[in-house]
Amino acid sequence: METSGWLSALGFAVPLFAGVASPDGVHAAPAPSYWIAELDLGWGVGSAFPESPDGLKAGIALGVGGAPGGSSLRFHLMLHLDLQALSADGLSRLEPTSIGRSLMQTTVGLRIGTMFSSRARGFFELGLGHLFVETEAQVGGGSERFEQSDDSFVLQLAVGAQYRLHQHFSVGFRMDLSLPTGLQSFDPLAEMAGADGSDGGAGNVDWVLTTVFHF
Amino acid sequence: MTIARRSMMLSRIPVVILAAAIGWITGVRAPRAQTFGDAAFAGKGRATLTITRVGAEVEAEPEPVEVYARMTFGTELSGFQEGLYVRSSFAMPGVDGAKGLTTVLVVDVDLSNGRRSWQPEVVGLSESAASGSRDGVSVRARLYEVDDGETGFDARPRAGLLDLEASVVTRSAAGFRLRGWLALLDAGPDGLDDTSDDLAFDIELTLESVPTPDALAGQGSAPLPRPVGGVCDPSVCWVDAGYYDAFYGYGCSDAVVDDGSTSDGCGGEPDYDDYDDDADSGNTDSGAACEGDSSTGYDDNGNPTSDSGDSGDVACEGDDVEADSSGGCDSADSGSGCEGTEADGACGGSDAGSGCEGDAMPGGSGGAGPEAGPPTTPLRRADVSWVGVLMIGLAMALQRLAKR
Repeated sequence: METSGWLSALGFAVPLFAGVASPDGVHAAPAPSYWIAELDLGWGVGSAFPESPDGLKAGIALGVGGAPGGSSLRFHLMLHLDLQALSADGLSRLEPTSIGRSLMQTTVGLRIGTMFSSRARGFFELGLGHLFVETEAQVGGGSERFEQSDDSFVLQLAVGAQYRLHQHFSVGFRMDLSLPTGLQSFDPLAEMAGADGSDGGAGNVDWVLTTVFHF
Repeated sequence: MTIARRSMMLSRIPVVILAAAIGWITGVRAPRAQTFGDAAFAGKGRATLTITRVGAEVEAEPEPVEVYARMTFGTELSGFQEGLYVRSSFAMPGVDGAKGLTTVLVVDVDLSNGRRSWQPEVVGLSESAASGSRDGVSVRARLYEVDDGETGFDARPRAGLLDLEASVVTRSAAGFRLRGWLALLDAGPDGLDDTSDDLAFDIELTLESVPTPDALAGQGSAPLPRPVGGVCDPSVCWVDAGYYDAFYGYGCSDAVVDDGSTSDGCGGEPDYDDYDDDADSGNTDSGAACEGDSSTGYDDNGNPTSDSGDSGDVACEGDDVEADSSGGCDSADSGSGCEGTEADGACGGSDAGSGCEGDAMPGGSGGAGPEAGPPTTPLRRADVSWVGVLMIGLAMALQRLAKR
């Protein structure tokens, strides 16, 4: 079955982004686009970890969906893959320490969007996934080095907005809140690095700029 | 089977699945019944050390330094397959009042085969973690100094004896007490042992989880003794930031180390208090922990007070404690001390008012017992796993189906 066929079967009959201006300025109804692909780049704070490290976040996402039955809302099933490199240092007043965390998170979620105008829209997203964390800590002025792995089920909430520059291209931003539920309740590496190892927060917060391709 | 009966059974299935899901979520990460060696856990603790620096570079009579410091431990940090890694970093009191540099003590013991005692060999103690317990190495240890990010002395053990004096694993926590002594040696610039530039240390150590194994086992017991007035035999005592005491909680923050003092009254620089020169105070540093304790403002019953006290004076509660110490729980006995008396029951929680911090322990009177301290935990947070979500979804779907 063709893509358009099974989308129609699911009720996504109305072309997505109908009425968006074409590049040449002619307001012709664009061909329906069911798929979106996103590239994200931004900054995150790992508040779920005791030392609250921060660092870059990059991600890709693939989504499929549309506006079912003439609804003003857009629904997309989203698949995310996010990578983050977080770090913190200078936590201990006793000794030079540093701690770095590499995060990989995969989530599947539902994005619900609404059009603010013909070009702008906002969305909310709820996703479930898994978070993998590789941690490396250096203590004792670098004379001791530790590595540890952890992973957790994760609930992800996101809000964002996008502006369509072209029929096939949008830019926007998104704020993610990731809530890992199963990380270690006491983190000895963070403790050795000078943080309170049992002081991890509920979730990580990220802000990313997004580029979206519609097809 | 009647339709009604079938419908009733169907309606029960979601409940069963939901119960299973909740059981999964809350219980899947809990440790199974296991031995101390098998369990995976990590946590905070406290190290009580008596360090004697000996060697050619140390003039005259070696003077032991008593250090009470925080520590961190974890089984997954161990270089052994089944091991326990313990690390304590503290500001070592310097000589003649000089600010001490950060010193780190690391002990890593092999817990496989139910081992509870370790006698370090001269060779191999500090071999790489990858060596595991090959060649009979069952314990590694290291005492080193951090000087501006560089390693100062770096002493490796040459002899010693460590015993796992107590260990407890419960469903939600694990605790232990490791006690013994180590002789460590830094070969000095020439890299050769037994030469004039060697730097040697003898350490009596007690490494204990918080909560203590005794507390986890439900036995009221006295914690380790603290350096209080007149009972600190070594010439120098030092309670480092982060040392956890069941009675007073944490004394000072890490911030004490740099600038010598902080607003909370914690002395930063190790207060080198020569016992011989100050016989009447005798108590020692009273710097960090005692000042911190005073500023924290707890009375003898562990109740918060607004009196910040003249902290730098005689070891805070030292007077009381010293007086009470006549009850047989003073730190002078601390080689065995309260810890020892705890074993024979003379200084347990029931001995309230004796002056031991044990009074505040379970079974004692008032104060924050060890349960109020940071948890030693092999647990993860309750994990809503994929399996849990799917089971809940299945339960909800079946619920709807059953209603039809």
